Amino acid sequence: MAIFIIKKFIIFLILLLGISFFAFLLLYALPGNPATSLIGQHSLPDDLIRINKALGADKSFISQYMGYLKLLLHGELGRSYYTNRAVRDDILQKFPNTLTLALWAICLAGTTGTILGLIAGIHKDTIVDKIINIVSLTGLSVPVFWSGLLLMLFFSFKLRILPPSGTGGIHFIVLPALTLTLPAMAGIVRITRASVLEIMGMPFMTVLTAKGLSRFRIYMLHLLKNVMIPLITIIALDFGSYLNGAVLTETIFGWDGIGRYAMEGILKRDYPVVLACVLVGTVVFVAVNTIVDILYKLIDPRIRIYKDNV
Amino acid sequence: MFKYLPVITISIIILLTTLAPIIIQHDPLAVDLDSIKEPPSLKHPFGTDSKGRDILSRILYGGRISLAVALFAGVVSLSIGFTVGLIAGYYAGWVDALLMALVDFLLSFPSLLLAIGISIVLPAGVFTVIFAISAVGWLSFARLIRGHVLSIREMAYVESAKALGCSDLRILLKHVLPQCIPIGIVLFGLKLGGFILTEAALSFLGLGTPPPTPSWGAMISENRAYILSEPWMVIFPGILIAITALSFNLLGDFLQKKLTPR
Repeated sequence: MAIFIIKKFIIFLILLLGISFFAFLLLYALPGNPATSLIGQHSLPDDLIRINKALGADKSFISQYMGYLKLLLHGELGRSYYTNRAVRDDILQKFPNTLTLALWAICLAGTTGTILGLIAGIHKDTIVDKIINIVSLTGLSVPVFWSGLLLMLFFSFKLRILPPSGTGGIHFIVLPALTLTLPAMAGIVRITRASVLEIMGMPFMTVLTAKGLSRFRIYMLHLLKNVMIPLITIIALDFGSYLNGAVLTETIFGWDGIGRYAMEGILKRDYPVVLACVLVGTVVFVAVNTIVDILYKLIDPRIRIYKDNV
Repeated sequence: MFKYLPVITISIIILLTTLAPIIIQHDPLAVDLDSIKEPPSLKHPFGTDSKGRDILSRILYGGRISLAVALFAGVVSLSIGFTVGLIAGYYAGWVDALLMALVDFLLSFPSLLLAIGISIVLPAGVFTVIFAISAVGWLSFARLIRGHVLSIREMAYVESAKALGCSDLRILLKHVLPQCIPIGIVLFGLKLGGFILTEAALSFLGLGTPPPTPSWGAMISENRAYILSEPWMVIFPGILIAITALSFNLLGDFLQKKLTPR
């Protein structure tokens, strides 16, 4: 087990190095010079050279990347070209907001998805099953930036019960969290339904029925417990898709999180910001996957090594 | 009957968008200041936008690009994914380890961020969008096919083909590839809905096909400000995206039940 964890950790470190290099390469290839976008196209050539020098943009690619790595090791993520604020501070301030939103969305999607999946699995091939399938597929098919706008139109402008945008307490969270929930639910429903079907076919279910346990007890106690294992994995692995959705959802709802920060950075060509967001997002994603992999082995001794094949 | 609904819907959408130049009565690009922000009527079934352009015509024209991009990206992803998956699965060993490390590495990026990054680096245009979507899209094909090939290569008939002296290429193309086609088609169907949504998201963010060419995502973002007073400008393009994506998802579902026996 210890070897397994150490191995996972080394892979994690290699991934981090690769990711930082790849992200840096991608941004390095971007058209547009930071100095030009900072002081405008019609500025004096001398000023451009001076600012390029001050930003370090005149050095070679390798030395720029090495400089960046050195900063990273010191826990430093650079400064925004625009606000000159430390990106680390911005991210530390915005990350909890993204996390709050993601956790609310995960809870919402997790509970509704599990309940719908259980119902669909128990009533396999009936009309209920088919309706749930279509509902969850619809959630997957509706673009988040559109459903977000419609929710905003209905709840904020027509009913006037929820604020259209901003960051803050629970009433600010409801709409963006709902928007993120819709596409995430489909996967959870599907996995729950599939594992319900698998478990229902196992001999111990027949034993439980023969023992005279009520259906409710069987479903709530024995079925749910077994369904939880694959479910926790899919929910955790879905974390990456919340980061994806966050870019669009946070932009629409003006939520002060990493997604919107990244989007603004991309539009303004604020390299340190974009790089930091990609790095933080990917690190979180990879870290969650690694932890899930390890936990999975701890929770369920039946599993040697879990590999997702799709 | 209901089973074939997605096929029918997709056919109708494809037919309407390809025949758009014949069907529509308004130029999708023509600015008409006499009829700005008109609600849906007989003349303009989906209303007009803030520049007086007919929304239905714009949706039909925009659909051509959206569908073409999604289909192209699908074909590109499928081809790359099949090639990588077949090679990795068949040769196994270090080739497999290397290729799958690359796949896992690319999968560890939030996919939309990666697509956004690519669309910024390359000059705006249809091919950039296709490339940005396929750059992420091929990964799941590669993984699925690789897993499938790993199990096929152990089968007796592959071994006997080898014993008969078939070349690797012949075994791959004649004996292994055909076995992978059904699951490839299923994943293709399941993925197309997602590609439609990614294309819409990119053009919503202003990273899709550049204006004035209409596209579904861009129509939603350029009319966002009117959602309260003239909601039809935002609602109709969104409905089209949702219906198209849903039809592809249902089609994938249907194909999965038909083509992959459990």
